[in-house]
Amino acid sequence: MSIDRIHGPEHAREVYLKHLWEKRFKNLAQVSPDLQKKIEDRKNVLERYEEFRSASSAPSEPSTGALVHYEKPLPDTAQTASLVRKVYREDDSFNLLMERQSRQLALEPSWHAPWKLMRVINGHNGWVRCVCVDPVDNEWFATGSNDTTIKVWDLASGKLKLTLAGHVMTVRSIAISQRHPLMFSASEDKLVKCWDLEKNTVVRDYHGHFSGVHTVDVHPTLDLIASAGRDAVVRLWDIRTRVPVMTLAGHKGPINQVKCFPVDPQIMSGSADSTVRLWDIRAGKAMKILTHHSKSVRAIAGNPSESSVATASTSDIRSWRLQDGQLLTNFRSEDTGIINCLSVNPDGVLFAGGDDGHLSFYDYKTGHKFQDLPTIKVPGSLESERGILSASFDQTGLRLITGESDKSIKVWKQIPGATQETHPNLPWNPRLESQRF
Amino acid sequence: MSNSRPLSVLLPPPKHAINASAQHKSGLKELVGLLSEAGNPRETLYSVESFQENSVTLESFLPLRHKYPDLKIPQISQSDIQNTYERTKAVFDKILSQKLQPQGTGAVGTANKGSAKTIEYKLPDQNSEVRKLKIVDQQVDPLQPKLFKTKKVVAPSTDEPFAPVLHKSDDITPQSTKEERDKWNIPSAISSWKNPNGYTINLDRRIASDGRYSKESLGPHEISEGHMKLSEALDAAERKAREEVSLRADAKRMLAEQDVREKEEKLRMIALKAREDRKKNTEPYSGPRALDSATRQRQEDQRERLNKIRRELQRSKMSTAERLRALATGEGREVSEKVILGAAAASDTADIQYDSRLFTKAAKARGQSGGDQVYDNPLFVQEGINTMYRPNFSAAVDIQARDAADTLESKVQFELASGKRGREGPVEFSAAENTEKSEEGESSVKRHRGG
Repeated sequence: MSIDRIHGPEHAREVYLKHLWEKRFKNLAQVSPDLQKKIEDRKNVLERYEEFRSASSAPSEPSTGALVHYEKPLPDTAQTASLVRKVYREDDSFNLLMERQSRQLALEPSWHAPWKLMRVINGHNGWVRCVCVDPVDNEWFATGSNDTTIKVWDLASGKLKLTLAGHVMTVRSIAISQRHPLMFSASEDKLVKCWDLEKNTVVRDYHGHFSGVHTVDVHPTLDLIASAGRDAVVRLWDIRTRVPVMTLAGHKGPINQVKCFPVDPQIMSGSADSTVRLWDIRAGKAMKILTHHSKSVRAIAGNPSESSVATASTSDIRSWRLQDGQLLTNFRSEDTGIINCLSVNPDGVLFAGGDDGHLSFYDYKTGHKFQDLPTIKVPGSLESERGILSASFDQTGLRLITGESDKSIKVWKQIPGATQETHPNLPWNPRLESQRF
Repeated sequence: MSNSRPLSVLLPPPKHAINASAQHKSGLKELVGLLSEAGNPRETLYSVESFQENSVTLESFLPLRHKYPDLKIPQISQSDIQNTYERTKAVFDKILSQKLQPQGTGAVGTANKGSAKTIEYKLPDQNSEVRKLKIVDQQVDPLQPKLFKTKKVVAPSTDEPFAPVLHKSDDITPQSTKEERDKWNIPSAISSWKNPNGYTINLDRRIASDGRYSKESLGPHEISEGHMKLSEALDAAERKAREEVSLRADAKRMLAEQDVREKEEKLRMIALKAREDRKKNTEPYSGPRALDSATRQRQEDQRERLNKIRRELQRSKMSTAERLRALATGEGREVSEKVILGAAAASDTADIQYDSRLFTKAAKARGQSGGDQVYDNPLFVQEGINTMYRPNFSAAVDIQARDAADTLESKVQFELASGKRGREGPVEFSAAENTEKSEEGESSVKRHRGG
């Protein structure tokens, strides 16, 4: 090949690679098994099929000279399956839509007892925007509302224990520390407040957000809190000194929820730009960005019994492995509409509260929606006031507390004595479209 | 030793060296991908592992739990938590200590306090004793503020992991179907039967061009023969009416013209007759010479009457003033011209009406250019004009009173100066001896006025 026929460096490199190939591998009698495996891996399905065809039709009779060829009948299903197995390897066969669908149908989601309303608590004068259960003793829970107050309720009796006033705008999020007697509340008045639960007063304010704060969470091991809001950054604060230790910028829209975990990724944030970011807080940047959701990600919930996380956007709930952000499950949530809140209990029940006032309960492992019930309306509330704004299971996972837009707090429990026979779940029929991309 | 090293070691590294190598690598990767796509799988042996580490694969869409239904994800172990905790805490302690350090305070110079370094050396040429050199850090005041207070603002790093968008984008903006678009279509308000030049298309043509009404199903939309007939009849009736009206107008005009012509003829005849009469009168009587006194008397009377008529006629043509004058002279009275003119003047109108446009025009003329002209005509034209040039009587009375007081005062002064009392009646002229005194007085008055 003369020099003038080489066009640019790319072409030169190609020529060089070919030359290399000629020199090294062309005259090899036998390729080493690991190389052979790699070659096999690189072959696509059609190539494999061609090989299969040539291998199977090699001993076939020579042409008889007949004008019309007699087509052999198609092999039976067992043979087809073997062909499929031969052409598509184990991984590839899973890439087939029908194969995946048949495997889905073969799954047997575990039965969960259905849930029913146990108690309605009235007391707030506005939407109940956040619910947080006492993580230490499981004796009380706190709710934050549009009426700017935080109320503390007794979990067992539903009696009001305390009203905390201090914010001047909607309280959007509450986080209670496991290691300190402190409660943190984020509000639309750009402030994060730290409440001392022994003195029931505000002890610290965290100034620095440029706009309303939508979410706050306490780091489980470090003395840090993470807050995020409309200004599209996650801020990490040192609890004691109130110093904004770190600012995690990168989201392109308001952040709806932030979650802290003890291991990497230590911060996870879901935003209205329809992405979820897993943050590496030692480096101060995102280690992974999950772009599977196509609408604003409104809720993130960690699973207390395994290291995985569920995220929800409109009609789309997914769960992820925490350590590497691998997709675990697509939940059967194509027709749920806007989802405001998620909560997972230790028994593997995922609750999703819809903006249209529907409670949907999912089996966490398989993504099977086993119950879907509309919320019970409070007498005197408007039709438009159906919406679950916040929800949380208690620490045992036996009670579900929801904060709703009809200003009430509702407590739900599983129907006692329910069995699979008396209360069968919704049927398991995964649709093809649930394998959405 | 230094001579053995190549010279290039001393040179700075080539610019963009790292980038260049990175480009080379990525180019190689692309090439490998290209070759694999070309169809020869054996050529993809190079860097198979590194290839496609960032690209989107089907695997990233397929949920792990679908593939491995019994996938167990263990809880995080305590050792992991502890490990992460320690590493993260170190980082955050460092950041926090930096943040908590008050701005401007320098690094405390006590770290190297004890580390005094001793160097022993011997000068090569002399066989003298070994010299010792102790290197000590200079003492720094730990509370001394930093010499340089400039704090560099570091922009946050923008290098992010490559995040391919892993969701369908078409569900964000759903395509509308043609029916939907037709439903939302708002037709333009422009008439298709009229063009900007004012030409219109006939009704039957409109119907013909409209696709909704085919020839078979014209039905109620067809314009029947009766309509055509009616419109034609209406047209004809209108034309007829117009013709009649114009005819009638013509006839009327002709009648009026005839009238005028007749009158003129009559007048001409009268004038002719009068001229002939006059001629007959003026020409000498060539009839019987001898006239009796009675006839003469009659002729005299006739002439007198004629003169009288002529005078009457003349008087009727006179203006009011002249007629009055003539009346006065006829009656032998002496009436002054002023009275006649006063009597002849038209009766006074109480309020004179002016054409306000005159003033508007004037106001406009007075105003600046068109840009400053806010109103097209002044607000108080009519009222203003009634009071503008009228003397203000009360003000006038005041001025007069003041003048009168002034003059009175000056008069008193003058009289005091001249030693004279006020005088009554007309001015009395006296002999010339008083002239000097009076002049003196006048000058004093002048002085007074000036002062």
